[in-house]
Amino acid sequence: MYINGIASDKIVAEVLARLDRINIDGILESGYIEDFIQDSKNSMFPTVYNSERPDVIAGELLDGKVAILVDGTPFVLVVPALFTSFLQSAEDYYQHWMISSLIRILRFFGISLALVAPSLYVAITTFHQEMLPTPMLISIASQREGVPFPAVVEALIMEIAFEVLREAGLRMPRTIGPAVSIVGTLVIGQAAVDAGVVSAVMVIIVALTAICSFLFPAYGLSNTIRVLRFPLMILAAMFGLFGVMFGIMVIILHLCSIRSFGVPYLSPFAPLVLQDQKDAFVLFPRRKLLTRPRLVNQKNIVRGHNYINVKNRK
Amino acid sequence: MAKLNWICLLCILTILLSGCWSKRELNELAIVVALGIDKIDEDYEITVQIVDPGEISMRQASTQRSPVVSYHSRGETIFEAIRKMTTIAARKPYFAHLQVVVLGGEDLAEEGISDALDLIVRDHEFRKDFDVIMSHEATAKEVLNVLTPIEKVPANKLLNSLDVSEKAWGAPQ
Repeated sequence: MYINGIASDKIVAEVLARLDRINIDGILESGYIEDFIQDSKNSMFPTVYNSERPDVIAGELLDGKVAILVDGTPFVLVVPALFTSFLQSAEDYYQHWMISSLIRILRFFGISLALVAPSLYVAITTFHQEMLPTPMLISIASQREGVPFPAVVEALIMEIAFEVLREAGLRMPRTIGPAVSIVGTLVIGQAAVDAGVVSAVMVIIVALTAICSFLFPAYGLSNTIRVLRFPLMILAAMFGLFGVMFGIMVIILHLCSIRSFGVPYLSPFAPLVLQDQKDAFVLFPRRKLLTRPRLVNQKNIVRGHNYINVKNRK
Repeated sequence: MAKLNWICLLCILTILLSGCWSKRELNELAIVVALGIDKIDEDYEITVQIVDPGEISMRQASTQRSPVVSYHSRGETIFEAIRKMTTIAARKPYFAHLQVVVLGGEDLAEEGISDALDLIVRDHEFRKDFDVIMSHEATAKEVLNVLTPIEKVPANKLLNSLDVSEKAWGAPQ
């Protein structure tokens, strides 16, 4: 589904061609199609957006994107999907733009924290102790006295335990869900610290990471970050901050290299499109959002005719 | 092909074998907060004040142990003395959080302190943001062996009282 006259013909043709190429006996869920039409099949980052909210899909159609509806699935696929679209929630557009802008900045901060918090902790406490203020170092060191594992092992244990809990919470019947979380918090949080198996700071870090990873409006990217955390932690354990930086650079280079249906994944940041910055990191007031995303849509860029008049009058 | 595999293997090994090189867990560190340097005859005697993190933290600070431990050692050079200290202390002293350096008495002052400070300036682990204090009619060892009541770490007490008296009493730092 697309809006004729807004959506780019090239993208529509490409979507149709890719859909034609699918050759399989059955499609049970839109995830199947997502996998078939993806640009970079081996990339962990999602290049197809999905949502089950009609308003989100309508908004995307107005941006000139193409929606794919699959029979029997609540999730509608949207292409091309950009990195920023996974960080923007529908509510951003419905409330005051200042609040939305602040929340977006918070969200960007949160996802970077969700990605690097445990690896930064590991790197700083095992390689760069001089970076911490003295009282903080002493306080962290006192908590680590008697912890039997190196910081990496501790971090890995806690992260894995958390992922197990999260997965278990999803699969549980709803009635025992709370029981699992109580056991989880008590066993992992309180008892592990009291027993001296892990340090209290580590629990804080893991909890922070966990909460930050729930900041994502779209689920697809959250899973990617969840997975990427582990290689970063191992890099941090081997090479300290150098390893963390190296890992982040590899991730950013990879993000720059992939495209979603011909549109650079990191746009409007790389390549920089000034006009589209109004709806990326921050959100400008609705009356200023006169244009559709430049790279997605080259044909019909200005939104609505009355906006043109407003623009001409100035 | 086999050759290429070997090269790949060697590349991976060079990366992996150098990994964790300078890794030091927090509980392997002896955090030095004060360093005292005395000159006895031709030898340097150094005193390091190491914090015992377990005693400083708020959680279980009820035991009757001292919050800091001092170690002494002698050597022809300061470097030798520091390295020799590992024979009596369980951990290698970690100097990045050094707060204060006490130079002992007039002996060292008359002779010139450049030799004594040479290592501190050139070693990579020292951060040059500590204060340097000259002791008067006492050796650095004696200065660092005083336990202070309110500030648990004597080095902090030295620093703070210098700082506060400079502001309130007008004594030059």
